[in-house]
Amino acid sequence: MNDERDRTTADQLVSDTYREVADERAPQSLNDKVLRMAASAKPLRSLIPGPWMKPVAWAATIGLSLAIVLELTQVAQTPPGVDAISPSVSTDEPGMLVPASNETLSETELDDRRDRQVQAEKSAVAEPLDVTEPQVRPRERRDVKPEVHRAEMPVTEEAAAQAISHAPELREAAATADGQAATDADDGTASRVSNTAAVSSMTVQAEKMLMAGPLLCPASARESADEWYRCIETIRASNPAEAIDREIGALREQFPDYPIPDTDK
Amino acid sequence: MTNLVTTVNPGPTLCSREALAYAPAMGPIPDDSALMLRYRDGDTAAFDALYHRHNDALYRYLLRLCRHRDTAEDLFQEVWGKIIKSRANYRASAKFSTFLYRVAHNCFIDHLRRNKRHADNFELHEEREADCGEQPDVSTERLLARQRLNRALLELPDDQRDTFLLHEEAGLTIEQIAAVTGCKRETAKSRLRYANSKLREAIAEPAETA
Repeated sequence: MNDERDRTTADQLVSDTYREVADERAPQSLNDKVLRMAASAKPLRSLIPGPWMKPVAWAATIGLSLAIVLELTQVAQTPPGVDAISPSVSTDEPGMLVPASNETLSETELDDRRDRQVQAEKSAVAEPLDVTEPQVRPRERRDVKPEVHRAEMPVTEEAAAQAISHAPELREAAATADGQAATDADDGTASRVSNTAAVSSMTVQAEKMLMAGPLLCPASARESADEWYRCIETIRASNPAEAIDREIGALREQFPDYPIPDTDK
Repeated sequence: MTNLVTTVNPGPTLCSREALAYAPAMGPIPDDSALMLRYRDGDTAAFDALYHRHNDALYRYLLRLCRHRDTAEDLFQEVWGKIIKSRANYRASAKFSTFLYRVAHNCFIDHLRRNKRHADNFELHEEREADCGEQPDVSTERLLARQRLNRALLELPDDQRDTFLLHEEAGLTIEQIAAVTGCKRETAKSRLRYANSKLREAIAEPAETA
């Protein structure tokens, strides 16, 4: 440590000369403003936890642990390949969107893309049901499905139509699967259906959050500066610069000393 | 008896980090972190003391960093505003001055991002009278040295000037400067060396030319 603090005589001369030059003082008006600001700041709530905090914390920890264990058990029972379908990134199927640079897209085009993506995800919710269809649904129900001008529709409209046409089947399949799961515990159909639906609904919720509020990152991510910044980096590719600036501004408000990397300076 | 103890000492337990930060407050000169924690808990007088320890140095740091008096004053207010707002998140894990100057550095970086054209446009000039009681030759020489140092300082690249000012005004070590500016220790060290070298040349220049 001393080697850094040890200066040569010349550096000491620079330091001394600087001290002679730098004798400015903060103006009194500025001092008054800051001290007034500090005095008028709202008092914080007491940070000392109440006596009820410990049991509540224990209960929450145990509850969350049980939920995670149950979730992991269900995931372990699911055969590989059923839940691994990621509707938002798949580009093989018609109607799925290919990720592209948004630098040249306008706001309306971005909104259109988001709408189409949500529709495509709705259709993808129905797709995994095909795996269980022979078990949960009579064959003749397929014939009732309306086949409306599929060939003439654009790919995204076809995906939407497919999603709409599958919607009643999804509900029925879920109900049937629940019943079947109750009678046959070894069959993983119910867990597959519920897992797939849960994953898809989470994706749709995330999309809605992206489109709705002024801040794009969820409140859970905003609790820690690291997580928040990671979220910002994730959405950077698909959002305009103003949104990024707004996020960074809000992050600065809450964590003013967080060192933001050079890319944002 | 137990009730009495509880009511008299409702603060944090003695082994906690908070308590350790509070401990120097019992001495004649409380630590900066202790003052900040006391302010966080509602003691406005603690903030006054803390503010008066750092206000002038921070003002000079921002003034020479921005090279604009008005901008420096705006940033000065912004920095203290952020310190006040974020007092709930303050943890006494690092030196308070490191925290303060990191906030100031971030504010300056934000200012640069907002106004990218400010760089070649500075207004600080130093015109001083020679000190009374000095020999005219000596005082003129020193005056020139000061003026040259001031000019050289304003002409330094932003990162070198920032490093030099953090070292001189905030009294930060190389490691602390690296933490504040978000660079490696070696980078901070070389920036300081370059800055010192340029300023040294600027001070020595009149004697050499003469």
